[in-house]
Amino acid sequence: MLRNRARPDNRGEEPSPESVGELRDTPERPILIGTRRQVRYKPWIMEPHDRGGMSHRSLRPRVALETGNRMGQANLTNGLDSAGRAAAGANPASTPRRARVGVSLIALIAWLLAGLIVAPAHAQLFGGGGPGGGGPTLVIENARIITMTGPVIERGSIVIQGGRITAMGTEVEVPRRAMRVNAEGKTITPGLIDVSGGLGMDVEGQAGSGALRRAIDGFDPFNELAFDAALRNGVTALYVGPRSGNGFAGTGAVVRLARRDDGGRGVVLNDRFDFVIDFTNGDALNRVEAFEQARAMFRAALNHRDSLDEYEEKLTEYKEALKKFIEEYEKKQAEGDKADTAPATQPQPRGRGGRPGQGGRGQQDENKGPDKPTRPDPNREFDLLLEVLDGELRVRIRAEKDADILNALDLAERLGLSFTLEGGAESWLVASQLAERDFTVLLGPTIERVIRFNTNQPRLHSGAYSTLRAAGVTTLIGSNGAASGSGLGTRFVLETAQIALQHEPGPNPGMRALRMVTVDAARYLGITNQAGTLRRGGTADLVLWSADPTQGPAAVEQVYIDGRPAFAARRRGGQN
Amino acid sequence: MTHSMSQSNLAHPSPDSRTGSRVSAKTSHRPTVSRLAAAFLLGVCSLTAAAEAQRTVLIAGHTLMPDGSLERGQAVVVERGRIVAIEDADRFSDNDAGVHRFPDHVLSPGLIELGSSLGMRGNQTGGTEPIEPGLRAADAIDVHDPTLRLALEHGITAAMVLPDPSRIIGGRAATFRTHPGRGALGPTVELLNADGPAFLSMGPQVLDFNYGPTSRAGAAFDLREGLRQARQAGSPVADLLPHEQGIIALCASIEDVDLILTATTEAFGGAEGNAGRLVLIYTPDDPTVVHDLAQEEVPFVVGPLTFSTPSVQLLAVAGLANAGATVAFSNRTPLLHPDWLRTSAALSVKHGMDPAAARRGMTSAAAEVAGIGTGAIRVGAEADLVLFTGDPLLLSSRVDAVFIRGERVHGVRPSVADIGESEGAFQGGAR
Repeated sequence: MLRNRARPDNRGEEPSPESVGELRDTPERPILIGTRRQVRYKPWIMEPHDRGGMSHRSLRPRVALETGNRMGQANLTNGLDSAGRAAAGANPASTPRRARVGVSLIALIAWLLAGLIVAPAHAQLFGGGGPGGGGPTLVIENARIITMTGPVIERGSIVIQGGRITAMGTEVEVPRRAMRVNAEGKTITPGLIDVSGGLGMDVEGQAGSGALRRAIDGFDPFNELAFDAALRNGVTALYVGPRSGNGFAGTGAVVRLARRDDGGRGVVLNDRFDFVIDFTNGDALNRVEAFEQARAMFRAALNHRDSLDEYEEKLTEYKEALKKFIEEYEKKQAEGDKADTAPATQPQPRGRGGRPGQGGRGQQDENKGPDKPTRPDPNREFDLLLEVLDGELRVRIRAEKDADILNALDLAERLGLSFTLEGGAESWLVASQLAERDFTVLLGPTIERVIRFNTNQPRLHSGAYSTLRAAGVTTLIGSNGAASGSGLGTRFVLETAQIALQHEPGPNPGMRALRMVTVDAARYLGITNQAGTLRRGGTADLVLWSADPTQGPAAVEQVYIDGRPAFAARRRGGQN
Repeated sequence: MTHSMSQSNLAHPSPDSRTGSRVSAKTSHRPTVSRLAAAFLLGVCSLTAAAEAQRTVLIAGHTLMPDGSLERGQAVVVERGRIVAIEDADRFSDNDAGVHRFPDHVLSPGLIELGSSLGMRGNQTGGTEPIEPGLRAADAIDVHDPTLRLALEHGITAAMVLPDPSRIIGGRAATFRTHPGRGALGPTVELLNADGPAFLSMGPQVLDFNYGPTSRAGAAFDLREGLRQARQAGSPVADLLPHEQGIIALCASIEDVDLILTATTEAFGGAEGNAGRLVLIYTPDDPTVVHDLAQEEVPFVVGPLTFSTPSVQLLAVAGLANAGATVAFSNRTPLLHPDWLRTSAALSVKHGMDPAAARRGMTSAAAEVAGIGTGAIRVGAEADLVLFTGDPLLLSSRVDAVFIRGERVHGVRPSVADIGESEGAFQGGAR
């Protein structure tokens, strides 16, 4: 039964703060979504030297091809082509087997030769390929490195090979032929992360509601302008939520803004993260209605489970009854054999709708089997809601007003649910209730509205974060992207955190703001292996700032994703 | 200096603390003659003390200089509400009277908001004429508006308000302190510049009328006609334009900028250009034209820039400043919270603007646009100062204290020097 299965406080899988630095690397399995399109890189994203950052391996055949043409070796080109196909596992069935082997051999030799000619020059230009062939070796030197896991490294270097950080510190061995970047006076941090974003969701339009909807289906991986805007501000990973819909809004997703094979951006780290219930739309009555509907749907899902359980029980009873019936029938049959009188009909176990037996009415009752129970119709929405109730999928409730937050708490109480509160503009008013239940708040921007034009506008409070913290509520800061149309607030997730921390006592609020939108956010999103920290063996998603962003104003100069330049600011006069 | 001199304005923030009257109140039970004698003696002493007690030395970890840079080890000496000296902090010891050290703080001039609606709610609109040169924004300020205090507590010590933007030629802007002055009948608006720049508007509000111009061409005609009248002696516009305080013009698009530049050049002759007498309220949205805009040598008032401002606009603002134009920020306080003023500057820096230029845009450059004497920590300026917990451009910094003419009007009690502690930040926040 549900009540035994529900695990409202199941958070065991979240790593503790101490363990983040020791996490082992799990191979990343990017899930590609959308249609596979060949899109040429937009010039404003890819700087000319970026091309050197492309996969060493994938570049080589192309360079070889060009060389082949220059040398006027048509065969070489052909050979390369089929070698490529052979390597790709294609089966040119039309070619005779021997010819195929021959061509392949020639192709292989040609490919190796071409590689030999081109490789040295190539290596000189772009540096040696990393162990995984994921890009050239890159060394960023003399930077202040904020790792988020250990102490700040002054004048340190980071070595990046194959898209990963292979060495980091003040005394690192610089590999030969590495591309070196002098970052004197600059600061390196991990890429920033938004725990409540909505970027790239422009194609979604104004959404309705429905539990089965998935944010990732509305995510446009080719929205270069939006991603450029995010990268320009140092954001490299984010949660994307479904567009606002009253009540059940669907499931969110976690994306890294890495380049995809099809030219888009946004490699999905988790395409099913948090089940979103929205209590932010419309006026107060609409929101209460949404709350009532949500409660009714959860009740219906529970009833569905009960009727399934009931069905199982009835099915077992039925099976036993049927067995007994058959046994009796066979016994009767045996007796009949002895009496040498054959039965008029076969036994007829009754299925759906109680199909009548073939015999006449008088005989039917005699041969009638037990009634087979009817299975309740499958319902995917209920299945999902039950998964949510079992704690297998975390709930994220969007609510801004205090009354809606209290309703959310009521819903959680009745159903034994645990949830994360997104937005939570007025959460500071109900901080003690939130603290009692140990729920996390993903607070949105907190700058107050001085003039509220109607009471429907939530009462934002600059000291909201401090109030929640003082009450003991675990609080993270996000852009609350679902609340805005474009989700472009993701760009300023660090600034949002800084403002939220204005009234926090204690030293270095700038560093704490950075921590919140890097390592803390990664921990919440369960992506500590891919983002949020800088450590040996970790993914090289990093931001090079003009100055230390924890101490003062700083501009993003470079962003690297998988060790490849993903954004570079151009700063000459007014041209940015 | 004697020990009694530590009784500075800082320790006694009340703006009307008159030492003499307090002393005479204390001695009121004495016999008349001796009371008079005592009052006289004490009065003389306290007058001397008061004169010297006004000398206050503020030494913060960093001081925001007029060029927008943050410098260490500066001691700002304030006397009678003015900055009288900026000296090396090492010259002062902690035991000197009137010395207050804030080692973790940044001392900044009071921030100036150029596009404010502070004190203006419901006070701006009236009349139907597109040209109303006689209006003064100064007449519309409500000193009892509670949001003035909010602005003050967030570091905005002066605000410029504009006449109604739905008029093409709409009178004079005014700049005032957000901290009220003390008049015979209670708080009064303390105007820093009652007759500020003349206000021209090509904002969308101009066409919102059911009367007046209903098309852009009509508005452009009215603008040119108004400026033409300015050259005819005796017309009301002639009193307004040209004026030593210059013109401040609201533009909604680059076409409006072009129109204003052409029309003012036509009206007032273009040999020396518009430099020095025209300010444009315009947030550029195209980074490719900012070089041309900067060539015009007019200051720009930009903003507010928020989390939903398109990146291209932020880039254009940064580009405009980097191309050499003077850029100052406006915020529409209190329609937006006063903290958005600093946010506008911080977002511009994130998009490439020089941090010093961004700090100037909230202080000295803004003062220049508004035509007022505060806005910079320089000798001779009135001591409207703000103590931030860090760089004002770092958004995790907050305001810990605000001084108007050297008197603390908001914030923490600067007790460090008084109780002889050598270091440490203050407890408690701005609220």
